[in-house]
Amino acid sequence: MNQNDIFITILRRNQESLLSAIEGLTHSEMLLQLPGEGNCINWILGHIASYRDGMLVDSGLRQYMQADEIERYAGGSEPIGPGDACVDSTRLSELIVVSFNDLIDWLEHDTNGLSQNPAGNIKDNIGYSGVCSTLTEHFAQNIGHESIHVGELNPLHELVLESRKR
Amino acid sequence: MNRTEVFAIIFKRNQGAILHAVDGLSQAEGLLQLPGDSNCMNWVLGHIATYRDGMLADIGIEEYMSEDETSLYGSGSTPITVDSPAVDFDRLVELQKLTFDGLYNWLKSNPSDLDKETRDDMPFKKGYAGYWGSVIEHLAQMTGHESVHVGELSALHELAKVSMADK
Repeated sequence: MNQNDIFITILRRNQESLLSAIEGLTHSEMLLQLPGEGNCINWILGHIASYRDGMLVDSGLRQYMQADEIERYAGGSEPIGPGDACVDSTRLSELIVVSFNDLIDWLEHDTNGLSQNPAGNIKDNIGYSGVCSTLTEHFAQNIGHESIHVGELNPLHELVLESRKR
Repeated sequence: MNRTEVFAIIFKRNQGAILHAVDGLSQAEGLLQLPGDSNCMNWVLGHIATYRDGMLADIGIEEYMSEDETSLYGSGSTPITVDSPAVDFDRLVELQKLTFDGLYNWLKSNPSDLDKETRDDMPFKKGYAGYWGSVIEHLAQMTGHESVHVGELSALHELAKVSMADK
């Protein structure tokens, strides 16, 4: 098991948990809020997608999100609630699939790809693009970051199920 | 950056998030429940510690949890509530520190036995000890598993803050 395999293993786990958490949910359900200052599912999906775009950019691959979409979900961006400007959850769900497919395909087939220099520019503010000195560090930092946000989806998924009982 | 450094980065991120989530909380806040079938912070902390102990067991260095403790927090275990047996919150926080130090210091020692087979002599079930084919596969699977549970602590930390503000 090499570094690529490690990242593939964790990304696959993340994707499976993520898709399970959002399966069958509507856009309005993805805006529900738990007590306190946590983020809703819509924000978390956009945040994960934008940081995956950062990995794609640093890897020299095609990115999928527009600049205004990335800005809405950047680190420290405003929370999203009902009535706030946001990307439709269906679009975010699609981004989660295409970015995952491209990252997995690249990790599986470009076995020396992680040894290249990061291709992105920190000034573009796309996730961790251009932030880390090596591509491997970028993947390690961001896959750990992503996994934690994926975990945040579990209680939000339960909240949706509870809301449907009312 | 080698393979152990990848795990070290992720564990360090997890540990930072865990210690932030538990900071200033006590046993009572650790038992607060979110809507639905989510687990409380006490269970999540015990679950993380149990699976870390399983990694320590497969690596072959000091473990910290007893059979009684791990039985409360294994996969599929009964949810922890105010009325059920539970390990004390302070002990669970201590276990986070002990298990992290064990794993992190081992990873930073540049170990050469990442590809060795996992144990086949576990006396009782402890996380995924003895389950995966190699130590590195165990670490890859359980690093991802741990991070997701760490993410669950965020909402529980917010719930505790709201609860304390209401008192």
